[in-house]
Amino acid sequence: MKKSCIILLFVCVTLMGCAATPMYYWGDYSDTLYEYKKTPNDETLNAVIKSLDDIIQESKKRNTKVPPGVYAELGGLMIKQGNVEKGRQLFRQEADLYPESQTFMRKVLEESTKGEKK
Amino acid sequence: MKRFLILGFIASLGALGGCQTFQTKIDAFPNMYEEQPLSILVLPAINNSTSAEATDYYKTTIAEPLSFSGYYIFPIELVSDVFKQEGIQDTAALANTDPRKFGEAFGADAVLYVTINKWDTNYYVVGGNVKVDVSFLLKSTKTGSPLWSYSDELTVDTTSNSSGGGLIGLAVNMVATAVSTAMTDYVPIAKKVNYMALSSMPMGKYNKDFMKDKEWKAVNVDKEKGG
Repeated sequence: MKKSCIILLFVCVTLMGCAATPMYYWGDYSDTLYEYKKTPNDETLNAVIKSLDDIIQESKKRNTKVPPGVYAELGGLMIKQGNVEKGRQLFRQEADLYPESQTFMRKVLEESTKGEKK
Repeated sequence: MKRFLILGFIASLGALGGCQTFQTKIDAFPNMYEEQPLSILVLPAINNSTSAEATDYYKTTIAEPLSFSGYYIFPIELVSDVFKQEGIQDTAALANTDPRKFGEAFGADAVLYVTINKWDTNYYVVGGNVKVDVSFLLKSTKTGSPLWSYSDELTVDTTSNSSGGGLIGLAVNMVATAVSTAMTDYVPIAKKVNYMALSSMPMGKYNKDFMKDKEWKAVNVDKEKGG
């Protein structure tokens, strides 16, 4: 038992060491999203948007790829807030960065034009 | 380095969990290496727990670790919105949909079905704990057959350690336990369950160890639950 604790401690310590060069920067997205789910209001929603924005900026600084889905999630939120053009641009960025998302991005882009006509 | 880590982690799990048998990843999940899926559609989790919010809370935890495993993860919130717009609210109905349909509609290579079995808080006279039990099943959208699966439970003891004798001490202890249990968030526990599960999953194309982890140990999917 003692031995396994030592091994666990070792694993934790080495994990912290490895965290210095992750392949993606996710910031506090998961936490802000959780807060928003717990207490949905303008403040928690803005924190989610800010977090997604921060991921995009910080990834550029670090020269890492923007994580999968981040452009698209932000795009979806922009459209909900009425900023359709910005949202559509973000969907295209997702499709450019991750070609495997193209089928889905095409679908949400089509949906977004339906919203405009209303 | 990473290989070392994962081996160490699995070894420590094994040491904690008692007797478990191990398989290599290629033996456990050969279809993953054959199909090499890149994009994963995570469906809203099926919730069998007593907590109504478990599905909503859980889905904030899964995109990040899956991305680090080297997969493209479809934007989880946006996908949920699309399902809602199409009037699909029932997670069980989604689970019964032919995986191939998701391949056509989303262009996904694989679909991840998550089932939350427990997301519960237990109180007893002088203690309490929080349990999170999640099972995972990844299916191919080409063949509809399983590619990877995993199931695990994690219990975090929230019994308060405050001392004090007699009835008053007991009462104080009970209150302290209730408070510390209420403050114990499920989400960090769910994140640990995800981490344990994903350490058995073969790496995807965006991870540098893609196709190099065949001989790594994976926890046997048929293992008995560690106790």
